[in-house]
Amino acid sequence: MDEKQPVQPDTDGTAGNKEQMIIFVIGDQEYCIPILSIKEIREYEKPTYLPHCLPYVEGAINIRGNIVTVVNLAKYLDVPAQTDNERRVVIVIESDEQTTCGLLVDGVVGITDILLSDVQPISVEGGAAELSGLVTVGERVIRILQLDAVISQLLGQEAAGTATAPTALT
Amino acid sequence: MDDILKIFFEECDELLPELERGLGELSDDDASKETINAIFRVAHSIKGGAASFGLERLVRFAHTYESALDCLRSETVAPNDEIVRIFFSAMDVLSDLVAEAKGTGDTVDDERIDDNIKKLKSIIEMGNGPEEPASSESSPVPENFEPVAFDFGGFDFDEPEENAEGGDFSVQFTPHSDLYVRGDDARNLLLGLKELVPEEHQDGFHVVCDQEKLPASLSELPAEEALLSWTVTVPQAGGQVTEEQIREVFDWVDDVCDLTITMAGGNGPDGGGEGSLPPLEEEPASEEEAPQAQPQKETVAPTPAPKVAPKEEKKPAKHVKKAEQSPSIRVDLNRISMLMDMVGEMVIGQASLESVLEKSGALDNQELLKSLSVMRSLTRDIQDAVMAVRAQPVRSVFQRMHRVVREASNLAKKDIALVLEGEETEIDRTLIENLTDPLTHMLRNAVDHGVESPEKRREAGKSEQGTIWLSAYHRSGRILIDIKDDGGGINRERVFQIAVQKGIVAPDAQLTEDEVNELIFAPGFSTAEKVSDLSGRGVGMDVVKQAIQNLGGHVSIKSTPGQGTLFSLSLPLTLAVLDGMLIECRGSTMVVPVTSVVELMTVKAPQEIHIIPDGTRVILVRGRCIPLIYLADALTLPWVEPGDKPAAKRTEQEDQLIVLIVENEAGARAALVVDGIRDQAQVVIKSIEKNYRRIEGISAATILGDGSVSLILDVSTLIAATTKRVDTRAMEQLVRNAA
Repeated sequence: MDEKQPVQPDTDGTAGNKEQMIIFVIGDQEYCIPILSIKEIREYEKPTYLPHCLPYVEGAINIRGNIVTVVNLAKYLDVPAQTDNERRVVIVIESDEQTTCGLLVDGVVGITDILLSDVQPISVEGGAAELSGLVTVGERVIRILQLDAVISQLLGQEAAGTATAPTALT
Repeated sequence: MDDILKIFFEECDELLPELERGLGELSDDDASKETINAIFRVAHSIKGGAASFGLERLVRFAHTYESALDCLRSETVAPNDEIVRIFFSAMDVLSDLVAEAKGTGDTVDDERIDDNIKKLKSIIEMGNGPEEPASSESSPVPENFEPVAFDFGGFDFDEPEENAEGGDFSVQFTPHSDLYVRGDDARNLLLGLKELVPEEHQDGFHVVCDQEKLPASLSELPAEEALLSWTVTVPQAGGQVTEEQIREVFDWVDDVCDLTITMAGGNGPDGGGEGSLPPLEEEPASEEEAPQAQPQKETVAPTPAPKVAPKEEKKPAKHVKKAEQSPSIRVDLNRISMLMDMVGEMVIGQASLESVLEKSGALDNQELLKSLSVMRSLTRDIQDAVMAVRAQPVRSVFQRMHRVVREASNLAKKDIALVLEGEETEIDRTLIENLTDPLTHMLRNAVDHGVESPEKRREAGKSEQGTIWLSAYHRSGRILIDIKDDGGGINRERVFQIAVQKGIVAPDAQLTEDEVNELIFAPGFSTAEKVSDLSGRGVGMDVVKQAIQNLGGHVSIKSTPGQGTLFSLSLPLTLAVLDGMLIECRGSTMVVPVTSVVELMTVKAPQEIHIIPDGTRVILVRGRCIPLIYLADALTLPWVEPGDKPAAKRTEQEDQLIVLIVENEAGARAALVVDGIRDQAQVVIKSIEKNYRRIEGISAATILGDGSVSLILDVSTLIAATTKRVDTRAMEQLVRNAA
């Protein structure tokens, strides 16, 4: 998680360092991600199940000829999702390395400018590596999602080197 | 300029394999004059190109090479093994020099160059180099060029009338110096003339060069004057060639040259009487003349001679093919890849159009149905055509392996012959590019570890020369590449010991022969006791296996102690599309590659299903015991309805199972239990790993007509996962009991 997130204050937090974020809800919690990482937002359609997948992976969908994995953010973050939600959407994001993935959320709330100096970092100690910080907008507490973490876990990068070795011989 | 230089290097990349092939034929003793001419031409073209770019080191070497080849061509020296070896080794220097000039290779050792030049010169001496002044022997570079200045790539000076034929045009062409000042080249014009003549009449096309005006010695040669003139015999080819056309060729230069066009048949310059043509069957050049006539033509056409020499006719088809090559253009590979991608999208689009129409019920319309099916077949044809554009014979990779084996066997001090088979087998270009490294490594390995030393071979009663076969062929929609040696085979005990030493496997592990063979592919495994130059760093075979797997292929090994080892690579023809069978399994549609499906059948449950002690279920198909794979369970597909039972339990109550017998490349079979079979279709392969990770049992994904994602099964890993659990001995026991 040492990769620099756009939302991390890269200066000493002087005011005026803004980032446009998109806010979405999962259950009753609000989250946000940088708007520039988003490729599109689309209706939820039933994805194709991927065998042996991580529990929070919904499956794969076709986006103009590309196979894109959809992550159920509620399961990923272990947050109860809204029940009977007809308006669930998939936010399609793209990482710096051109990896694309879809995030299944309960709904998009809106767009807001967030001052980087307002971001309160979260200690990883609390087991919240999925988030890169918190920010308060008025009365609301908005959690900033760590996108790199989502993607690297999806790609299984932590075990990329060893996963392919022949295992049959032990 | 850089562009032209690039073209020159591209040409070199094409010419060098041609040289190698020619030399290979020389060593096989089936070399015709045409072969020698062909390799001579290569050396000449490289020299010529290099000279115009001022690549001196290359020129100097290519020149000596050419001179030495000239001795073969003039038959003053007969090729023997030793001489061919010299040419081979010098060819390696030549290609290294090209690489050096290109900037992709290291600087070539001067010592190595000199050493090879010395050897080449010994050949020239043997033939007492026809035009080579004795003094040039020890002279430094510049003098070395001298003889070449007059060596116009092997002009023979026939009398023009010998080739003249009634009814042909005789074109006398004497360029002025101004023609060259303008940057034109007589060669272009002669080539232009040649192009006028239809292929079947090329026999009657002759060029004779008049060198009368040339001074007797080079020092007197006025460098900037045009001294040569040509007499060209152009057959009318039944009226297909007219005087007007000939004049058109010289249109741009008619003020800087003297041009006379006469009818050789005695007609006046303007007599274009088409009716007066002699019968075309009349061969202008008889068989005896052919060798003489050819060198002339070759100066006109440095590219593969369109004419097949009479002697060539009994040669394998590949030579004829080469000779008949149609005109070609160079296309940027990216453009083809783009085209390929778009065609892939088109196939999907076509399928989705069909499925939308089907849903809307519009397919009752017969006309619509008809035009739709026309579109479908067109789409498929386009796809095939694009694939054909990218397909290339594996020859380009295979040819390179000669050198690999040559160098490796020199280092290992072994005498090894490499035999290539099936170089014409075509395969997608992307695969070809990615094959070079794994093949190089496997061949080095075969030289280093496969073939024994000459002493050992003699003890074993084999001939001292080892042989490695590299062959390619198509089988059931895949390309198979075999690397076979006649060496000692894999020493399984030693392999096992080493694997234990290196901690790859537990000392008490019970492994089958195949499993021991597989150990070679384990990372960090190397049987070499000391690290040699060739291989033996222990980073080899696992990398090879990985590379082949990345291409969608598999490696298998067969080894017989004392007789040799066979590595078999199985690769898809292309990385882009696949013929698949669409199956239903617990609500999902999946694709099984048709190439791996052996047969479809229904099985009566539970009578026909046998359960062996470890719980694996097997069926008997014509006496062969095949393990069942409940696909839905194997892939842990989610239940359609909650509370559903595992497929293995559930299906036992049903009376009929639909079963797909599938086979992997090694011939191991398994029976996939599925819910239904839907369709057969060509699907476009899409990577899952790009945006996700590798999934056990799934090789890729595709997009169906309705736009949904469907997974393509990896039959090999599915079978491997199952057969590993099933002990074959237990199965044999069962068969015996059942019988």
